[in-house]
Amino acid sequence: MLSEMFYKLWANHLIQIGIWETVYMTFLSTAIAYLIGLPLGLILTVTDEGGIRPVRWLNRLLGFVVNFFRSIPFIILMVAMLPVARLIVGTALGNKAMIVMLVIAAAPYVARMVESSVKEVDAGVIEAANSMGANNLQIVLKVLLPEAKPSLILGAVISTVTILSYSAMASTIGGTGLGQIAIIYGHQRSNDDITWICVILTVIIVQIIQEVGNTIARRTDKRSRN
Amino acid sequence: MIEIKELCKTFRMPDGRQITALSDINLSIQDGEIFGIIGLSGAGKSTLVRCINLLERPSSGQVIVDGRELTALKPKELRQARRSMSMIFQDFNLLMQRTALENVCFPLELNGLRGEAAWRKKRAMELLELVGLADRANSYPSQLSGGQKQRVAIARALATEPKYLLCDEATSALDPNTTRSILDLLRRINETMGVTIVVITHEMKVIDQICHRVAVIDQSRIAELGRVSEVFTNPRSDIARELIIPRDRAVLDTAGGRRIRITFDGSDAKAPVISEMVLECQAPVNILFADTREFEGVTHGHMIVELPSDPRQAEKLLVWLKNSQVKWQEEA
Repeated sequence: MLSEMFYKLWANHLIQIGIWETVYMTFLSTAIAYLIGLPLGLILTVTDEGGIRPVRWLNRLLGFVVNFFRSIPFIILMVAMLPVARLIVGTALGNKAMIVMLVIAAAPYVARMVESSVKEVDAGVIEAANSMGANNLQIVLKVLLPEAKPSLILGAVISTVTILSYSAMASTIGGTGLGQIAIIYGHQRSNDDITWICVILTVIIVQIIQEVGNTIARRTDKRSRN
Repeated sequence: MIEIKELCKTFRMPDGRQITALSDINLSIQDGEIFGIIGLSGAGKSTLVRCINLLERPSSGQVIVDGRELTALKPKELRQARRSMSMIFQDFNLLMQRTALENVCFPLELNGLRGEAAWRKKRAMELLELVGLADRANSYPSQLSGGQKQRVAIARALATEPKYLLCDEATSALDPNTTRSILDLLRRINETMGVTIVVITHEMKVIDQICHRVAVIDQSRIAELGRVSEVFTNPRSDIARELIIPRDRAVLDTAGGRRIRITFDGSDAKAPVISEMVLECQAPVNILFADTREFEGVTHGHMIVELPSDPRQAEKLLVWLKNSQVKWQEEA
């Protein structure tokens, strides 16, 4: 029993556009978050005490910054970072601002994900590369990243799903997508079916991302015999 | 030639204690030889081999390779020097996400300057053929057995045409048959390519199968150093004796009586010494342990026997051994 509102939204392509916007925002934000988080995570690993180039102060400093941003709930971070969004994209409203928020929230998260993946790489393999005269850059590019690849992909899936859930909250500052449809047409106008449809669509998107990611990770990983 | 002079290595534990891993190590490894370093686990032998290519930096002392003092090199020069000193490991340390062939290509890629991908692949293929694994070139390490992985690691180690090959417990994770074939391969590499090999192990059988000389490490120091045949037939240190015949063998513990160790040095190894002794003295002995090996075509052996509990009979046996010019000593 779907309400009239649903047919109206569907006929006007609002739901379809909502799906697209959610997917698009999520992937764009994830990509930008990785541009920042991947190098950050690598620096955290490399400069750590047991890393290939320990730099205590830098590791402590970056670790503090990452923890700082990660300890703030997204909804608060979003409000606090409004001026930053205005500075970067010229507005504190809408999708542009929303991407800035998502990146600020996700990059530290991504950094920790990358760090934990790269730290799984066997120390013996790094030692072997060292014994062959590899320099630190070669160890990062030819050992750490390729060996951690399957784990990095799984981490990226988790990060993407997290960013997707953040993106729903971003509708409070005017970000669009399924989150906004659920709040404006579902919650505020008391159309529970709209809310639930948005929830179900989000669940389906998450399932697809997870399944595709798992498959890619499994196909990439040469540690299994298959 | 690798020269190690007055080398010491101490580690600082997180709680501030200093732990001495190596102290006052002096040795020189000649070009073309297979040099063994043996010791119980924790004796410091793995630290020692890592000091040779400076994966571990010595706390003091010198490591001189072909006249160059390694500890004085700049990082870039050290990386260059390491390409002439390859290393293989107990856990193989292959790149799990690369095929066997790509693993062998790896050190060549680091070397950037020389040749392109096609040349690297050709060279890697030659090396896989050398170690007998050409048919597994496109297999990933997870699809290979332990022995095959070590062969890939050896091919990878040889890619940069090193002068030295450092083997850190390279056969310790392998079964006896595979161990033998890997050791044969190492000997062949030594003989045909003239690569100087340093072998770290806790197993005497590895030493006596391929090494020319051996250093026995005990409690951070060199307890004994010499030709393998000498050390085996005439071990001067307790630790060397223990490594030749492990003291903690259950059978030795169960025997309560007086024990002696008889050593055979080639001439009499094949003579039926024990049976003659028993027949002539009319006294029984209990053989607790016996082992013989061949060095350079001569058989050497060790035997531990328990003497009869009657002291007069025991004395009779010892006199017989002395008269027969058989070497023996009291076993603690």
